[in-house]
Amino acid sequence: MNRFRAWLFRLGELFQKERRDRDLSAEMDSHLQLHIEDNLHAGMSRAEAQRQALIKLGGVEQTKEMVRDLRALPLLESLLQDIRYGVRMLLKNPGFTFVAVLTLALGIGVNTAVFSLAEAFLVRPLSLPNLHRLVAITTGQKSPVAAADYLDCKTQGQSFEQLAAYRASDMNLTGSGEPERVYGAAVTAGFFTALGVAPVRGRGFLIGEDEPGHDQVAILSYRLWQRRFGADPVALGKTVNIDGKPYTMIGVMDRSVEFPVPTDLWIPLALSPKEKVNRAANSLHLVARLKDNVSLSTARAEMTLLGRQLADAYPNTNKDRQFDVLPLVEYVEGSITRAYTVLMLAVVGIVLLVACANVANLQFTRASSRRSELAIREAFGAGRARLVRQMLTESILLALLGAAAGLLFAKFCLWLCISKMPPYVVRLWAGFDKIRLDAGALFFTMAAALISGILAGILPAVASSKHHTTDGLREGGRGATVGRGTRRLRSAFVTAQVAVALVLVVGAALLIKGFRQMTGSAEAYSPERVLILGVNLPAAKYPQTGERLAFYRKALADLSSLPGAQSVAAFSCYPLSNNGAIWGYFQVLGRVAPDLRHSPWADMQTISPEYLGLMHVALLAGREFTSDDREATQPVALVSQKLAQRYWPGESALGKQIRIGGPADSGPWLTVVGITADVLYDWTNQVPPPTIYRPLTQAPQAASLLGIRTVGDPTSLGQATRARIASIDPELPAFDLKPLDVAIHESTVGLGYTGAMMGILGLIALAVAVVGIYGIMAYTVGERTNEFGVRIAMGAQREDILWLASRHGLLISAAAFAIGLPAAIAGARFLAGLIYGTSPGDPVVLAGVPIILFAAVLTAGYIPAHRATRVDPLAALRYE
Amino acid sequence: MGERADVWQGTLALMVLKTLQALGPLHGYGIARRIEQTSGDLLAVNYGTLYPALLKLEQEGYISSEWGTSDNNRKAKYYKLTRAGRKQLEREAREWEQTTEILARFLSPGKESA
Repeated sequence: MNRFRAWLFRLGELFQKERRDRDLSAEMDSHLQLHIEDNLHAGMSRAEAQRQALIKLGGVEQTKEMVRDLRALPLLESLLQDIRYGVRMLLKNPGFTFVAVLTLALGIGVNTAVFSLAEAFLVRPLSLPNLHRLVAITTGQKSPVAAADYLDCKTQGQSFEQLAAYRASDMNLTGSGEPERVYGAAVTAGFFTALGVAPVRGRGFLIGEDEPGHDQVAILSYRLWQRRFGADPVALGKTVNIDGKPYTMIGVMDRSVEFPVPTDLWIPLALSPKEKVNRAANSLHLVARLKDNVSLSTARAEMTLLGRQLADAYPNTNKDRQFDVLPLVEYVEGSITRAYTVLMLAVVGIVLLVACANVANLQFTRASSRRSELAIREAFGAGRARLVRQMLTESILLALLGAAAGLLFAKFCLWLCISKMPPYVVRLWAGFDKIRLDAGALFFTMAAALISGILAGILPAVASSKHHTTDGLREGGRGATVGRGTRRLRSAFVTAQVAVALVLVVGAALLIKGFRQMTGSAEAYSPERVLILGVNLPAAKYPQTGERLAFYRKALADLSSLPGAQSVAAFSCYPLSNNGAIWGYFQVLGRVAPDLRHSPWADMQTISPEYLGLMHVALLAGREFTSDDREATQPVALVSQKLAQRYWPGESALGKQIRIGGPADSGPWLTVVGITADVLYDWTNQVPPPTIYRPLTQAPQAASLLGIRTVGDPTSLGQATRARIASIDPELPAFDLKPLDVAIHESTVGLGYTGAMMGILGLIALAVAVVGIYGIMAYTVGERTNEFGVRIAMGAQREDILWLASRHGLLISAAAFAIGLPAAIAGARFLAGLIYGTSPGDPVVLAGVPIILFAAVLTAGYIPAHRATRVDPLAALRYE
Repeated sequence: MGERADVWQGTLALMVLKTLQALGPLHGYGIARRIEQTSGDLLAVNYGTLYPALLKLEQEGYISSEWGTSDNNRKAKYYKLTRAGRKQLEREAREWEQTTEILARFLSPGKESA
C-alpha cells in the first residue's frame, strides 16, 4: 500500500522536477547555514565553519544525487525523454510519418473491426448474466433432446443449478390488430431462472404453468410490447390469440433479453403425458446453469454417464445416443459464422503483418538517412541499448498513432457492416446487435499497436545501431552503404509482402467470383419478378389435411386472379435460402437402410403443379405434377437429377419407388414420375443435395411459401396479396412478404460481406506491397546515384541503367511470385471448401490476378528506375 | 553492501520518527544533530545520508514537510510526524524491541544449561 503510494508520489515528482530541484537546493543551503552558524558559535573561523559543515554533510551534489535517485522513476524519466525526442523526429519527417501511420492505421483498424465482430459473434452473442456458466445439453452434433430424456436429465443431473427446455417456433399472433407472424418460444417454467433473467414488468412463469391446462399465459419481448402494444402497461392482463388459442399476457422481458435468438413471445412448454414418455423424437433444446463449483468437464462426464445408463435402459431408442454438454455460446453460434470469422481473423492478422513489414522497411530507409545523427548520439555516450530503445520508442509511437487513426477506421468499418445489413438479418444473427467497439476492443487495439510497433521497429533499430561512429560521422555518412545483411532482410520483407498480397488478392478474387456466381445463378429464376410470402396454418384451425388443402386451393386461385399475376405456386423453400430447406431421410424400394443413421437423405419440397414453371426449374424427364394427382390417386414424387443418378445409376429413375422417413416409418411408397434439374435450395450445402418433390395435394404441410410471378414490379402487389389472404382467413398472417431477389439477397448477404471484406483487405495488402516495392526501389536508386552518374559519364546507355536499376525489383517480384502462387493455390483449395461456386483451379483468377499484380509491382518499380536514367552525371559526380 | 545499506536506512528511519516524536517539528539539520547526539558517532561521518531517508519517509506518508523559520530566523524545511507516521513508529519500535529481546536472549551466554 505504502509502496504504491510512494510510487504515485514519484510519478507526481516527474512533472515538477524543476520545482523539486530548487526546493532541494534551498534545503541544502539552509542546512549548511544552520550548521555554519552552530560552528561559528562553537568558536570556529568562518572558513573553517564552512569547511566542517560541508565535510559533515558529505558533499552537496552527492547528497542531491542520492535524493534524486530516490525521487522519481529514472527509467520512466528517460522513457519520457525518448518519447519527446521521438515525437520531434516524427514531426521532422511528416511524409514518412504520414505513410507509416496510414499503413498501420489500415492494418490495425481492420484488426480492431474484425476483433469486434468476432467478439460479438463468438464471445458474447447473447446478453445474459454470467453467460459462461450457461450450457446446452445435446445428443451430439448440437442435436436436441427427447422429452423423456430431458425429464431424466432434469431429475438426475447433479451438475446444474437449473435445467430448462425450450422449443422455438414461429407463431401466429392475432386478437389485437393485424394478424402477425412472430418468433415464438415454448419454454419450461424454470427457463428464465436458468438464464438468470426476470421480466421488467409483470411476472415470469410459475411452477405448474408448464402443465397442460395451466399454460395459457404469455410473456412478451420488449420489442413486441413496444411495436404492437405501444409499450402500454395496460396490455398486461389482456388476452391475445396465439395459433388460435387464447393466452393472457403476464409479463414483458427486458430489452436486452432475447433468447433463443430471435424471440418475440414466450409461452410455457406444456408437455402432454404422451410427450413426457416420448424418447424417440429429439425435439427439445436444453439449457442449464452450472452449479458454482461444477466445471464443464464434470457436467459433461455426468451427462455421458447418464446417457450410457439410458442407453442400457432403453436400447430401442437410446442405443446410439450420446449426451454432450456445450457452452451455450457455442451452441447458438451459426456453424458457418465461426468458420468465416476465424478466416477473417487470420486474414486481417496477415494484413497487419504485411503493414508491419512495410513500416519496418520505411524505418530501414529512414535509419540510413539518420546515420550521422545516431553516430553523434553514440559519440556523446548513448549506449547501443539506449539507441535501440530510442528507435523502438519511435516505432511504437508510430504504431500508437496508427492505432488511434485505426480506431476511427474500425469504427467506419463497423458502421458499414451494421448500417448496410438488412434489419431482418440483424435479428436472426446471434450477436449482430452486440457489435461495438468496447473496452475489450480498445485493449486489443493497444496490444496490437504495441506488438506492431515492436515488430516493425526491432530489426531496423538493431541493424542501424550497429554502425560505427566514425563511419557515420564522415561527411553525411554517404560513403557507407547499408550492410549486405540489412539489404537482404529488406528484400525479404518486400518479397513476403508481395507474396502475401498475391495470396490475399487471389483469395479475395475467388471468393468474390464464387459469390457472384452463386448470386448470379439466382438469375435463372428471374427472382426480381417473383413475390413470395409465408403462411403457417395453425393446427387448432386446420387440424386435417382436408382443411389445409382447401385453404391452399382457395389461396392459389384467389392470388392468380390478381391483376399482374402471371402464375402462382406453393412450395416449401426458395432457391439459395440460408438454412431454409427442410431435409429428411428416405428409403429406396428394395434397398431399405438397416437403421436411421444409414438412411439416405434429401431436401424435401412440397409443391403445387405450377411450381416448376414459376421458378423456371427444368423438367428433364417424365412429367410434372398435375391437378389429377390427388389424395386418392397413386402417390407420386419428382426427384432431382442428382438423386436419380445416385440411386439408379445407368437406368431410368422413372417408375422407381421411394418412401419418406426412416426404415421403421410406414409411409406410402411414392412412384417417381419425373426428373428435374438440380437446384441449390440451401446455399450452405455448397452443392445441391438430392431433392424430392411431393405434390401439395398429397402432402399439404402446415407451413408453406406462396409465390406469385408478376408482370411488373412484384412489390406493387404486396397490399393486394395481403388483402386476399385476409379475406380467406382474417386471423392468418402473411409473413416475410417480399420479392424473391430481396429474400435471396438477405440470405446470402453475410457471404457477400465476407467477399467484400476480403476484397478490401486484398486491396490494402496490394497497396501496401506496391508502396513497399516502390520504397525499396527508390531507396536503392537513391543510394546508387553516384554509381549511375559515373556509369552514364562513362557512356552507359539509358537501357543499361534502367536494367541495372530495376533488376533488384524484378528479382524480388519473381521470388515473391514463386512463393506466393503455390500458397495462393493452396489457399484457394481451402476457400473452395467454404463457398459454393468457388473453384480452386479458376484459370481466370489464377492467371489474371498475378498479371495485374505484376503490372502494379512493375509500375511501382519503374518510377525510381526511370529516375535513375535521368541522373545528371555532373551533378552526381560533384558530390564525390 | 546493499543489504547493510537497507538495514542502515531502516534504522535511520526509525530514529528519525522517534526524534520527531520526541522533539516535534524539526528541520533536517536539527534531526541530524539530535541523532548524532543520542547515537554517538553513527551519523558522524555523513549528515547527507539523512536526506534520502527523509524523502522516503515523506513518500510513504509517515512525515510531512513545510518551509518555516528557525529560532535564529533562518528559513528551513521542517518535518513533522503524520498520524500514519505515529502508528508506524509504534509498530516499528515494538518489532525492534522484540527482535532485540530475542537476540539478547539468544546471544547471552549459558543460561539454559541449568
